[in-house]
Amino acid sequence: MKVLVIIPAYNEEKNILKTVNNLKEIKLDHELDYVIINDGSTDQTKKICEENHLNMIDLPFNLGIGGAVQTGYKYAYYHNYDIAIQFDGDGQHDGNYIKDLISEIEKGNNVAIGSRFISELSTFKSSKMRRLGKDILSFLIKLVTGKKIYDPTSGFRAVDKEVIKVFANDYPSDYPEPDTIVTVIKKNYKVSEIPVKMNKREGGKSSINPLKSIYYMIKVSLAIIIAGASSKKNS
Amino acid sequence: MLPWELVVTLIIFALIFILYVWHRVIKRNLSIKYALLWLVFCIAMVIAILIPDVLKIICDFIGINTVSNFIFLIGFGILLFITFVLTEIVSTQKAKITALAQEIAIMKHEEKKDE
Repeated sequence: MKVLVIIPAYNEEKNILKTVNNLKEIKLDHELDYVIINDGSTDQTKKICEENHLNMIDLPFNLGIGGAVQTGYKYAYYHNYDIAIQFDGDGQHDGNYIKDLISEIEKGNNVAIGSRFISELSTFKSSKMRRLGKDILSFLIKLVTGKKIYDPTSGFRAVDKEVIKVFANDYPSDYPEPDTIVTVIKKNYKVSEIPVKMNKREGGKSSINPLKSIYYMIKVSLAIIIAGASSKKNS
Repeated sequence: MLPWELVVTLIIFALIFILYVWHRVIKRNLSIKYALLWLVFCIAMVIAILIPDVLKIICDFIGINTVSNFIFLIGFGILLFITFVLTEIVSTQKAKITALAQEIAIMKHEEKKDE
């Protein structure tokens, strides 16, 4: 079983080396490869990757998170990986949960989502507004697909071979998480969520401001509805 | 009929515009597909200048009182249509450029591995 960890990195000079080193320490009974997608970083990310001989794909210019992650899925598809795992380069995700995600896939799920809000484990602190936003997206996904997803914006996910192919072919360019979930459920793939703990962002910048959040909510809501409407035929 | 001085001035403007479009096509800065769109626009303008009664007939037919209102309506409609087509083109091109960038990055990566 070949497993690939996809690490999108945009200006992650402070975290990228640590992220990869943490990954390398994880003991698994699977082969665990990784690939960093340098999304046109303007800092030293590329240099650090080259100096340390990290496995990096260097995008010629910034594509945004969706385009970067999709590059990883294409790479996984071309190299015949069985499982691809999305893993942030900023230290938010905890590699110890990778084996849980893999075992969810082995149980026959096509997609496994590392969820912050599914159990008592979740001490993840977030503001009321963020939770409200997440609840609205959860509700919309439930409305469109009939399935409850507790953490629709989680970027910590594992997908199997079939979904790798789907994502390599078509992936939204920005804020891709919620509507890809709808797409896979609509295509009758099995999606499961497992509880994970996430760390606070170490370095790097978060992009929260009120106007952006409103834009985000409208755009993602629309994306969910469109994904729900356009994937119906495929199932 | 418009006063002849005005007709000449307007025709000159229209001709300059047509020549400009033609020039851009020759220079390969504008594809023939879109040049056609602008040329049709120009020809319609010339017809309207030479035979303004045509506009009046159309106005009476669809029930618009003044010709100027009709022209604003048509102009606005055409501009909206063109901008819509442009955003559509930009969207598909963005997707294509993204795919190209991804493939190039992966190819470069494979090359480096082979060395």
